[in-house]
Amino acid sequence: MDTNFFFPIQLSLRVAFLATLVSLVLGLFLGWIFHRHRFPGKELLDSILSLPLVLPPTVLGYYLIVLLGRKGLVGRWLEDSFGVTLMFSWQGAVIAAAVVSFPLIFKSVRAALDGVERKYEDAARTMGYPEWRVFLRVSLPLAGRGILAGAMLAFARAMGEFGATLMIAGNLPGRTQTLSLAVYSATQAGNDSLASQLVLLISILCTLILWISGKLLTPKWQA
Amino acid sequence: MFLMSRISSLRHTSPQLSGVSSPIVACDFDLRVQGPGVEFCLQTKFTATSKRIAFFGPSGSGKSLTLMALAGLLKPRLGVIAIQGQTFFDKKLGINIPARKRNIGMLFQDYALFPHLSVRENVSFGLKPFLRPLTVAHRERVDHLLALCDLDLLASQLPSQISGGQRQRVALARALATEPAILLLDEPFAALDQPLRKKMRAELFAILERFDLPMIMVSHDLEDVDHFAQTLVAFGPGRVLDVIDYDLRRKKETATQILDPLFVTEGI
Repeated sequence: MDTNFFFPIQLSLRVAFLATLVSLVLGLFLGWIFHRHRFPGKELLDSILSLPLVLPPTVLGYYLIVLLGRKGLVGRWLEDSFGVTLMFSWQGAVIAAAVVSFPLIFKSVRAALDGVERKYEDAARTMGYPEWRVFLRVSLPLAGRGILAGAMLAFARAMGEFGATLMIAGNLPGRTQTLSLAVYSATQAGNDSLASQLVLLISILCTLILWISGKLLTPKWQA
Repeated sequence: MFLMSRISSLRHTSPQLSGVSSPIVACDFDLRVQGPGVEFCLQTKFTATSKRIAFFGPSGSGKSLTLMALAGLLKPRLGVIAIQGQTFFDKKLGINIPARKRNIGMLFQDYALFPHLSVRENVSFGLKPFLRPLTVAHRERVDHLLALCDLDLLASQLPSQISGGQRQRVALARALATEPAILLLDEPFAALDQPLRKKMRAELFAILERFDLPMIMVSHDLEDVDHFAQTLVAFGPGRVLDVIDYDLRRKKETATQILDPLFVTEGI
């Protein structure tokens, strides 16, 4: 066992955790807007936000390079203003993982909030609660398990992210080589024992996550 | 009115009710609700002045929707709504007071108790400030209401752990806790079994006797209405058929005599 084994694991956990956090914040915000408001083009926007679910990761990687690359719109601004480059950095991997896992959270938040019966929110309104407090005290707790289950799925998805990460962050051992990239490299290099260890680990981890996520989706309260 | 509601006495007196006062409810509005593939149009126009008003009519006539509009949970397409002389909605003047500022207590049809909160947390819900505990006065008020509704022993239970009758009393205590200026009851006995209804009706009205506040009850049950109403607003499909001075008529006629012709002539 060496850094070839441990570094990818800790990097993948760190990347997946931060990516889940980013998409959770965005997913909660957008999910709430979609739950509360009606506006033209809502379902079209929903489809666009859900695109990472179905687009090939390489296509997402391409979009991200166009956006975040040295010559990209955001990338150039980041470099000129802050001297920050996201390309070939582990932070770039976080962004790639956040983009692919975002729809899983966004969809879960929307479904979970839409699943909260209106009468509970209405009851809070008649008792003087402004909308933000209705959300914090009623909608969020009642939707909480669904949202958490979505976040676990997103975490598992972020752990397994390969294509977009490869295009944005590259595959630099000890710097940007995540678990899934390490499996690829080990297999290419004929290092079967390392590959099998990594594969076994990620399989166990993802099984656990999916199992917990499934448990969370069984309802706890009955009205 | 809003300031008055913060006085912590349990006896509720509304300043607008003394002497010659404005009607309890005056409304004339047009409401449309859209479901998947269906649209329901409701035209409600009536004025009622007594302290116990019943909305009576068959299911699907728009009684509950009218109640929701009064509470500010549904927005009419046009028209006006005034309760106790205060304009809550006026399309032409651009007035639409949000539900949270109407100071209305509402007992929902199946109670809508928060399933994740205990009985005590449900009752104190409307009094609790953000991130801070209840004030001492409010805690005493909650204790008092729990005792009054015979819930003190159930305070830490979740709604799913108590009986239907107990749930109704929690909903009532919760609605009364914020000292509303008016109480709206949406089919308060619909969720109860027939044998329990009679008992609960007596219990509910006994508790309400102690609070001197105007009430509006929605029901399609003749007995409920007969026990409760001073004024009866009869609903037909999507509109108000008639407003009846029930107290006056009841002195000479039976409930059936008053109500039957109304719906027979309308062919309902």
